Amino acid sequence: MQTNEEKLIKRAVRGDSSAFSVLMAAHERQMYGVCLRMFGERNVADAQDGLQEAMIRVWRAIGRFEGKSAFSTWVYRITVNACLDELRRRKSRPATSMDQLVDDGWTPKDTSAGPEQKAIQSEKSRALKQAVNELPEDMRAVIMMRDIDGYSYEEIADVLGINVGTVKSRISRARGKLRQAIMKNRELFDTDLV
Amino acid sequence: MNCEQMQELLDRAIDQELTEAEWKAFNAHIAECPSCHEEWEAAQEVRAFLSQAELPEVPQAAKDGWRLAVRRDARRKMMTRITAAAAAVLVLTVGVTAATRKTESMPAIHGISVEMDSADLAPNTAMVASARMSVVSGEEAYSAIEDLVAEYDGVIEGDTVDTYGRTLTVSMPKANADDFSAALSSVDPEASIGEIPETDEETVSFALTLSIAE
Ligand SMILES: [Zn+2]
Repeated sequence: MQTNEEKLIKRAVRGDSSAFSVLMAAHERQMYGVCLRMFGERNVADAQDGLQEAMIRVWRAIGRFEGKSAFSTWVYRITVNACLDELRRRKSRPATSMDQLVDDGWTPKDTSAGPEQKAIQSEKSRALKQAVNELPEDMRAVIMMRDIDGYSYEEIADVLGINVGTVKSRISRARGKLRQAIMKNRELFDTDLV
Repeated sequence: MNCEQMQELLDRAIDQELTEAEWKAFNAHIAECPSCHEEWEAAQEVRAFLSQAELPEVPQAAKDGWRLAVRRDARRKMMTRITAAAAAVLVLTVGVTAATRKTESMPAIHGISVEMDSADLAPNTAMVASARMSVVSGEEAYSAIEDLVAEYDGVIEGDTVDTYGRTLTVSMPKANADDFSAALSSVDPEASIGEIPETDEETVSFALTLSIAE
């Protein structure tokens, strides 16, 4: 028996763009999250372009999806690579301001802490966000895949086409940089902590 | 355990992959070494920050944007542009399916079928799509196409009528041809698709035939 997803994929392969829309509606939030995180220091418009590019890639390549991995994994892989390509292509362009009021994909869930705790949390979040945005994009990609989206080192290596050792060292360096961001501001955060 | 060894275990500790013996040694060290303790705390905070990152809402413009792009891509493929080695020539035959046939004006029709005339194509570029446009009459089809050509900075360079119908020769900036094709076919979302070859020419020319079919 075919799942609904399989049916929609079949229709999309035959060129049915409406079926494709329905199929991808289930994935667009995850994909947009990836784009926003990858373009974090830039802006929402770039993330939107990234999403569009990724969707077009999925649309054009869907006939080559072989079902070896989950469809969502295949889509994730295309999205990450579309963003990395786009970032490389835009390298010469200046980044936009880092301080944005919009959701940039790194906003933690709202916890029900007290106001003081919240202020510290948001200050920490701000420092961490900035540290994340200052990471080179290849580090940002691996730490997102590992520590947010929970992919294994092997899967990340596979998605990015690099070896596992490189993945491990990038993740290690990225985590180290983020720890530095916390420790640098330690006094600031800890003064009010009991 | 010393600080260096602790550093070596740190990533695996973050990944929760230490053996029981390693955890013991790891914990024993951070219990007595303030700087490693601080680093481990920071590592956990980073991990918590990352694992709590919420998926953002997709703005409506982004939702609309990719859907439009995909629909356009679907249409673009459908309307395939063809290139020959020397000059890029696109031939579209727009066949008008007529309910009745008249000679004075274009007949009332219930559809226009769009298909490639493969006679003039380079051998490796043969293929394509057919589509149907819902238009009310041949005159309407003509004036709609005329408007569309103008809208995409095209020029109607020839206009002949023969027994098959009316053939327009159109030239247009290459950059606009895809969008023109898309616009021309925009009324039929169900057509089948093919790949679009690329051309280096700045202007493409093609024949558009409004033909009368019984
Ligand atoms: Zn130590």
